[in-house]
Amino acid sequence: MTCTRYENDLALYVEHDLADTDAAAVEAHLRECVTCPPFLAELRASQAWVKDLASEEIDSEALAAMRVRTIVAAARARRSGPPGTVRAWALAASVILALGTAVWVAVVSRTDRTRAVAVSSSPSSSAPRALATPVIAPPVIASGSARSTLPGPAAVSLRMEHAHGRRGRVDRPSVVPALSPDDADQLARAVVAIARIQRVEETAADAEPSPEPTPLMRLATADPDVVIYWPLDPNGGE
Amino acid sequence: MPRISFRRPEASTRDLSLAPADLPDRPVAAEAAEWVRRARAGDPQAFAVLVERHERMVLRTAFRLLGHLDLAQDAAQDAFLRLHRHLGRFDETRELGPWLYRVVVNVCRDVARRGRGARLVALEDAAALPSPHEGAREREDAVTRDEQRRLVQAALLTLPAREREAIVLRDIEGLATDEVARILGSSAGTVRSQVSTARLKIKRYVEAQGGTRR
Repeated sequence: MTCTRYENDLALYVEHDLADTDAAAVEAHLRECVTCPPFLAELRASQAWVKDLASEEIDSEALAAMRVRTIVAAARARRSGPPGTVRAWALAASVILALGTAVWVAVVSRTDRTRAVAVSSSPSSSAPRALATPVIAPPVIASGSARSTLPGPAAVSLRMEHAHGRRGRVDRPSVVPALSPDDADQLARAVVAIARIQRVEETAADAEPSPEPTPLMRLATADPDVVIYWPLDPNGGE
Repeated sequence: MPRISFRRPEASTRDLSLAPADLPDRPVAAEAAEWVRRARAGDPQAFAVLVERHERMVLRTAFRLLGHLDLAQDAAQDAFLRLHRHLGRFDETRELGPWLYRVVVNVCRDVARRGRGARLVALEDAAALPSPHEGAREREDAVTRDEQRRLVQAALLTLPAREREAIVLRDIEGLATDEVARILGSSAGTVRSQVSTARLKIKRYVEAQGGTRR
């Protein structure tokens, strides 16, 4: 038996962990108690065993193995990247650069979309269908009615430039990036054929059936594969 | 198959320690700060010296907290690699020892959280474990110093982690109560309470296993 309420104090007293006043109180109790002094002796014995662990040598090979592994791992880490704050700054710079690139790409693609929409919405309904079908119809073609806007050499020249630009020049943002090589070839042939229109005749071709048939001009070209149907404005472009 | 051989401690000490001419005659703290500075500048030799000077302390503490040498080696390595990573931010005017104690305690907590640490046994269950020897007389004779150490180590592993940390730092590493409190991030009063409880539990465990009562 021991005085339970003194056990914790004795466990501190045994290693001089009590304040002086508390230690004095414990010593006074020890002088009067029968059971606590043997308890304190047992505590001293077990504490001697505990503290003996401090003198136990760690296996030297275990130490050496740990040391070698640690130094090698540190050297590897040093080679793979700068330590500490430098690496953190490098990471932060990479993130900022990536975000900046993403924002730039988003802005550029949005601008391209805006321009493509603006251009593709510009042709009027009276433009020749063969040329209006591709995304771009140059403004000179798209204006007015068939009576006043049959393509002349200037217009053809402008179109050729556009077709050529789409095929060969890639150093500026393309307005029609989706135009395939085949489509571009077809467009170029149409442009050349327009310059050599051989016959213009009114036709009743039902290319676009509607309740009130639109007058349609058929433009036969020197190229047998290129025939242009030109819807005429019933109101004469007014 | 290449063979890996480890240098004996004496050889490694000679290899990694400072030559007298290599370091000016300065107080120990200033000398340690000089090594920290050099290691931070990327000197691998300086980092090796830091490891060598603290390896026993770190590995011993990890072993007492985890109970397995292989786990302790991993934990010690992890602690030193954390030192290596944080060298850039380490205040060289501070002592490295307490910082490393705190790191190794944290690493061991991580190991225990991952379930690889000591399998804790309730004290009551541990006391009920069969003694390796039947008779009291035989038991007394057989308790050699090594067995006594194994018994205390087993008792340590029965303690809750916080009590084990407190008693390992206070009674085995011999740190002052205030310093233990700083390392563990608690108060001196809490540490005193943990230490006294741990001492009583260890006493009971050792006696239950036929230890100190002869």
